[in-house]
Amino acid sequence: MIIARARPPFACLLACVAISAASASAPRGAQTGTAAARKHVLAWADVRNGYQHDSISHALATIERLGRDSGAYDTVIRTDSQLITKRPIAFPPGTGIAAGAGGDFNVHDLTYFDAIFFFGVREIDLSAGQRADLLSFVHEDGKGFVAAHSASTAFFSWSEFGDLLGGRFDEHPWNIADATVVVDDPSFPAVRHLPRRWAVRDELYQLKDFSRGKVHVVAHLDADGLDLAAPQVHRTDRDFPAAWSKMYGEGRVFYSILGHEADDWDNPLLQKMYFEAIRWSLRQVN
Amino acid sequence: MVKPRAVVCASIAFVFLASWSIPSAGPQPPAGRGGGRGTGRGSGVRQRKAVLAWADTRNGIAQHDSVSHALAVIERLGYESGAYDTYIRTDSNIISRHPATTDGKPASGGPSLASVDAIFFLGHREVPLDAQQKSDLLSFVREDGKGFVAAHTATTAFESWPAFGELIGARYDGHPWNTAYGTVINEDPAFPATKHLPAAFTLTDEFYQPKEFSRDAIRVLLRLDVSKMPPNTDLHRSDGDFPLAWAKTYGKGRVFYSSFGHAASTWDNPDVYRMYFEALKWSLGLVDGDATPRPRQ
Repeated sequence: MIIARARPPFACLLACVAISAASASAPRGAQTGTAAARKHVLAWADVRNGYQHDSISHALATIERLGRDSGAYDTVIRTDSQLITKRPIAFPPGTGIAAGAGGDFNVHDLTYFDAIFFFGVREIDLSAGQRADLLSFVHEDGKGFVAAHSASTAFFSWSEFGDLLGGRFDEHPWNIADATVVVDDPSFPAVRHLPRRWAVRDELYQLKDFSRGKVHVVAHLDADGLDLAAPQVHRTDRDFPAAWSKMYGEGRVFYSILGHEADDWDNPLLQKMYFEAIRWSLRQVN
Repeated sequence: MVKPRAVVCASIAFVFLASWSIPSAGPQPPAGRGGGRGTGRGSGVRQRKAVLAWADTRNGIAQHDSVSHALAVIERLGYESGAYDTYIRTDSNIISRHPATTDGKPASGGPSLASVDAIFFLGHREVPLDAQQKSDLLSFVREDGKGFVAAHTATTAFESWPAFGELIGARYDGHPWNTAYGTVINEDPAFPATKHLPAAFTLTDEFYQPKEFSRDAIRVLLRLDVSKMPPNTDLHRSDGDFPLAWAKTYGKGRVFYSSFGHAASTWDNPDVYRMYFEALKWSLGLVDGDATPRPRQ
């Protein structure tokens, strides 16, 4: 308790925190001093080179809140890519209030994080070293990579990113439309809670350059409900994944096309899909 | 929901807080979530105010772990109340009337200083802005009358840029006690951002010592009761004046700063986040408050 003066609202919040701590599987690290035991997620959405979806900030804040309220992980939000490295980050002299203090005052890099939640868009400036570090973060280090919606529009010019993510954006032929998401693998943690047929309204992405030999599609769009004569429909096999999981080397990767509008991130079903995907990528569930 | 009991209870607590008001407080946000974003894509007309939550920390090593939580809290307060929409950015590309991509080409739409109504600033040290961006930032407040609300490390920012000191009203001069327990004096219980706070209260935080401020230029809302703090050789003022929150105008725009918020958990303190929320509403012109400078109260 920080301000030593109780009022009904504050007392209620304290009670709620107590309930939260009692009911959560992990303690609220920031308050209980167990932060070192918590997983660390980098919520990364470098949007400097593309259209910033109105939903992105709300999605980042929601991912942060889900981790903090549950105690599953702590989140660092960044819309720049400075931390996408395992190498020392250079700073001008005299730029640290706590220079030499070490510990939790220092800049974090990829070695600190256990998973990335990625909601970037289009071409993102990363040096060759940063790209190598990002790939090895997942491939060799076995860290998690969970990506949302516009993530499949990112790094078109970088083929290895397609291998990491599992596929590429190929327009949204129906723009924002109603559709039915069909759950293919109800045993998978991120979609286990969903109805087998889930009615959604979202900006529906058509994906390309994926292979069902490489990605494990856990949910797809019911092609019967889509206008397959729409001008930008390129697929002829009626295969429109909505979410998949995959391995990239040692690391766990999840991607879903869902989450275009800010309101979508208020849907508990969608929240839980990404939250459980992050926990799966962190190896908190299998 | 992920943790139904906790989340629901926290939401109830928040609604209670958001709707808990003093009659003279002016327009209040609707209780509960305001129904999401004010605009969908293509709707053309923004229904709500827009806040840029800006925390470029790339040029300093003291990247506080609280920053991300603070940004998320500011976003949630606007979203759930319906008072404003938030764009979270930790880069500075949209600190411009005409943002550019990283290769200098015009950005393809999205937020900019031409489309947001206030900035919540939690950057630090030398933030990389070019001369045009600096000019755009100053005129955003001074000529356009937009809001500028800044927290904690904000006074460490732009040390080499004198005009920023005039905008924010003071500079950082260390934190003599590091994180410490202190007594805060509320000098202005009538101001929107501090009217929910008592005349004096205690808080544990990293209290920043300000310098280069003048009570002829800022209206101090909160100050540390230095008489109750242990002696400290890093305390530089002999008059005991130690502002912790103030309001001011900069040209046509409204500016608020507080040093509260070092630790992430501080941003879960309703008294603290309500202060910033009300300050943002004031800076947006949603509520009025007197920022006329005056002597120590």
